[in-house]
This record gives sequence, C-alpha cells and structure tokens, in this order.
Amino acid sequence: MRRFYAILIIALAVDIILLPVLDLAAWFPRLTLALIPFVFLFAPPRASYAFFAVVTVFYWLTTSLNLGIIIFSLGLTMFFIRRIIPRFFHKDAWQTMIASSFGVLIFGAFLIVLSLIFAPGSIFVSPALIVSFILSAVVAVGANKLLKR
Amino acid sequence: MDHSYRFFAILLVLSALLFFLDERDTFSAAAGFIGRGVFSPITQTGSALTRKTSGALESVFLFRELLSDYRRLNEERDFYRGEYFRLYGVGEENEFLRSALNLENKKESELILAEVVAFNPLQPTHEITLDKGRRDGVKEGLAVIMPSRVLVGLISSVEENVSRATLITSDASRVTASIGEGGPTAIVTGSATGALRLELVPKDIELREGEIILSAGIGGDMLPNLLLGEVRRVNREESASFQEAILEPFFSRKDLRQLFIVNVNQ
Repeated sequence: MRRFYAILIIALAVDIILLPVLDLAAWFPRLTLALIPFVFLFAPPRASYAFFAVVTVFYWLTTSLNLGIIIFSLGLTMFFIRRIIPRFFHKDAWQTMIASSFGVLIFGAFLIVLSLIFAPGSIFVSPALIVSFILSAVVAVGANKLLKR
Repeated sequence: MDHSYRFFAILLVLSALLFFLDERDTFSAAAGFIGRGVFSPITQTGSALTRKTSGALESVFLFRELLSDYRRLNEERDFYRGEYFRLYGVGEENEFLRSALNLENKKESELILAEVVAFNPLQPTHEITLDKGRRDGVKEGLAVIMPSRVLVGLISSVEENVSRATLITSDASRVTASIGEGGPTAIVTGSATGALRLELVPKDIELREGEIILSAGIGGDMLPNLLLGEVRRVNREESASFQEAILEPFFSRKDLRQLFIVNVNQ
C-alpha cells in the first residue's frame, strides 16, 4: 500500500518539476499518465481511488480541462484496466502489461474527443500532445514490467 | 455486471454534475486555493530545481565546450608553434643567404656552399671533410669561410666528391694576417690545443688585447680582411726579435655546419 502512495508522490513530484519546461517540450511523457495502468492493475482499491482522485485534481489544476471530462475519461480508463483486461489475461501476463498501456491512450482519446465536443477551446490538440500520450503509453509498458515485481 | 452498470451510472452522473459545476466556475475558488496553497509552492520548488538542474546540465555542456575549445586551441598552438619554428628557420636561412650574397657582391668570387660531413675524430680542431669536391670546382688552397666572413680553414686535399680543409686552428695551418687596416703582416698558426697564435709580429707594433686580426689576402686564393681571431694575450720578450700573441678564434666546432668555399679566381 505504502509503495503505491510512494509511487504516486514520486510521479507527481517528477511531473510538477517538469511542468515549467513542458511548454518547450510538450511531447514529454507524463509519469502520472504512465503509472495509471500499473496502479489500476495492481493497487488495492483504496490506493487506486486515492490515485484516481489525486491525478484528477492534478490534471484539473494544471490544465484547462473540465473536471467532469477528466473524471469521466479516467473512470473509463480505470474500468478498462481493472475490469475488462483481467477478463482476458492473467494480471501478471505480458499481454496484460501491454494491453493495460492502451488505457493511457483511451484516457487521452476520451479526454480530447469529449473536450472538443463539450468544452471546445479548453484543449489545443497538437502533434506534441498526441506524441506525449503515445510515449506515456510506451513508458507505461516499461513501468508495468519494472514495478510489478 | 450489476457492479459495472452501477459504476457507469455513478461515473456518468458524477461527471455530468462536475462538468456543469466546473462550467459555471463553481470550483474556481477551491482551484485557486489549492493552486496557490499547494501547487504553486511545489511548482515553484520544482521550477527552482529545474533551473538548477538545467544550470548544472548547462555547466556540463559548457565544460564540454570548454574542453573542446581547449583541445582546438592546443592544436592551433601546436600548429603555430610549428609555423614559428619554420619561419624562424626560413629567417635564419634568409640571413645566411643575405650574408653570402653580400659577400659575393663585394668580391668577384664564386661561393660554393658546402656541408661539413666529418671531423677528424682524433683531432677535431685540425681537419674537416666537406661534401663538395673536384666535380664542384673545389681545388686545393681555396679558403673556407663562414657567412660572417670568418676564415675557417683552407682546402688541403680534394677528391672527386669531397674535399678536406685544414682548419686555421690546426698546427699545420699558416695564414698571413694583417694587423690593423693595411698594417704590417704577420703569421697566424694553429696549435695542437686549438688555440691560435699570432707570430712574427714586429716589435714596434703595439698589440692590444681585444684587437681583431684579419687575413692579409696574400696568395692567389686568399681573400683579404677575413676575420681570423681576437687578441687575448700578448707575449713580448726583450730578447726575441718578434713579439707574438694568443688569439681566440671566432668559431668553435659546433658552428661548423654549412660553410662556403671561396673560389677567388673565378
């Protein structure tokens, strides 16, 4: 349990430190994004919900995105990772490691699409943003592999 | 499945509610409070850390640039040092040739540039071997000089490709000298020790230490006014018919590298 909170704090700290330079390197992978699959897959429910809440608030405060859209996108991601993937693969299977990283892309896709539809102007879709989500998904695979031990 | 429906229902309702509340800026005060009270200090700390980190990274890159510049400047320094010595050599050669040209202009003589290829190992002050011989126009009796008009010796034997010169410091050497401009003549001989002796100086001539002794130019192949030596000590004996002096030669063995053979008859 403590391990997951420590991971959450480290991920937030790294993202906050990188925050001032993200204007210059918007394509950077976000560590909190990359750790979403791992936490939702392996953390106990309480830690998962804490992560959910903190990440939601963090993205709400650091972006101009709507809180409802963030919660809805993250909720869908959590559902995909916690409920759907384990129906097809074992938690520790390598397929799960990869498939869960798609959660990051699902989160990004819903976030962008819903923002464009319901809150236009709250998001600026750029290649850098898409690259950032893809890189975060790639990092998520590595994080799953490294941290699941 | 019920759980899933319930989850979706709660998520949908919660999202919609928060969506509309956020659209009406209901949470702006809370966001401002959290932003100022929590995120801003962390962001500022992170920003400071980032600046320091980037500063450290810049320092690393700067150090690498400095190293690169240092290597480049070292290479340039080596290059220019090489150039300096090359130009220095060219300057020496230029000076050498200027001296030779000056000498050649003054006299109607041919200068044959010769390299010293050997010394007599038993008597290094006695004889040298030069790399020019009969084929180059060298013949016995020609004067061998340094560019600064210092008489070194006379050609004593000639072969096809090389020649030997007896140095004026050799005890076998005899050179006619003049004391002062157009003054009386005397004989400069060498010695086994390499010292020069000025002999047969009339007693009425006042020799002074430091006086320069020049060649008299007597003899077909000898140039006048070549430097022979400087008076170091004068021996004047009442009973002797002549006085004599010890001269210090103007060259040493290490100066003998490139010399000129002077062919006056040309």
